Amino acid sequence: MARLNDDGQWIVLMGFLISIALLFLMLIVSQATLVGQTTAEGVLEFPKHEIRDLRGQVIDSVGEGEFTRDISEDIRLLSLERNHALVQIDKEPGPLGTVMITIRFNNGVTIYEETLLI
Amino acid sequence: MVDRDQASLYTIEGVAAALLMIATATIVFQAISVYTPGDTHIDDMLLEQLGADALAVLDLPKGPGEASALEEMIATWDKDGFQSGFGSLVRSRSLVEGDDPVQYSAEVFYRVGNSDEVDSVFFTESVPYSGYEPAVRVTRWVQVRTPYHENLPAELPQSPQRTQMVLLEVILWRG
Repeated sequence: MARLNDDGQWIVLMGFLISIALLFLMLIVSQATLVGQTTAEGVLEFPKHEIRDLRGQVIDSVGEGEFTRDISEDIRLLSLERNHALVQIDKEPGPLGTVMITIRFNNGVTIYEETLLI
Repeated sequence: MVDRDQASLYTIEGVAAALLMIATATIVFQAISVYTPGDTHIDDMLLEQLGADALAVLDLPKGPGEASALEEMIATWDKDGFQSGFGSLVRSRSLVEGDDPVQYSAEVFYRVGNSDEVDSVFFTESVPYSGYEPAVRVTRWVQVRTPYHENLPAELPQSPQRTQMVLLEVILWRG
């Protein structure tokens, strides 16, 4: 019987290593698509404009002394019905004649809370 | 049997070259991105950003303590002003006129009196919204101050004559 020819073993080994390396690269590539998708969706869902707008309007309104319970109720109800967000704005007297405003915003995904002295 | 593995280096070279070619082809083909229905959120995101920016520009106060252009448009129910102001802002990305046909439809939501009810009144639109176009929605808070302007639609001034906060909702789509 002829002697077993095992000279090509390291070629087989190299092929094996390369296939494993390719497998890992493929994992990275497939994850990249998923990560891009979820990032874009996260950006879409994040209510950046809503929070900025709400904050700006409340600061303006309080600064002009026009912020009343009615306005606060307008914002709360319209946010709930149209933007599907719970908004609560509290107004208390702050130190040195300022007004302390607490804005709470929660749309189930994003929670935002801020206390301002105006 | 005779050992004949002198060419194994050539074999490895062949395998390596093949891998290199496959990798190159993969990279080249991936550079051409295929637009799938799952990618539409990117366009939506751009359109939403554009609309929100346009509203933010209109809502910039003209001076310290003064009302913004948007507040005046709503307070005086100036549809033409909104059409020219907002319309040109959302379409100004293109140098060629009519090349970027962003359409919009604006509506104002308000609280009825002092109740827990919300109602809306139609403001203006570029073309009627059929309901089938894939649209995005942007909103902006607008203060409507007393005394009310005579142009305001009859629904909007609430019974206790007070400054109120209304929500301007704009539907945006490409058509």
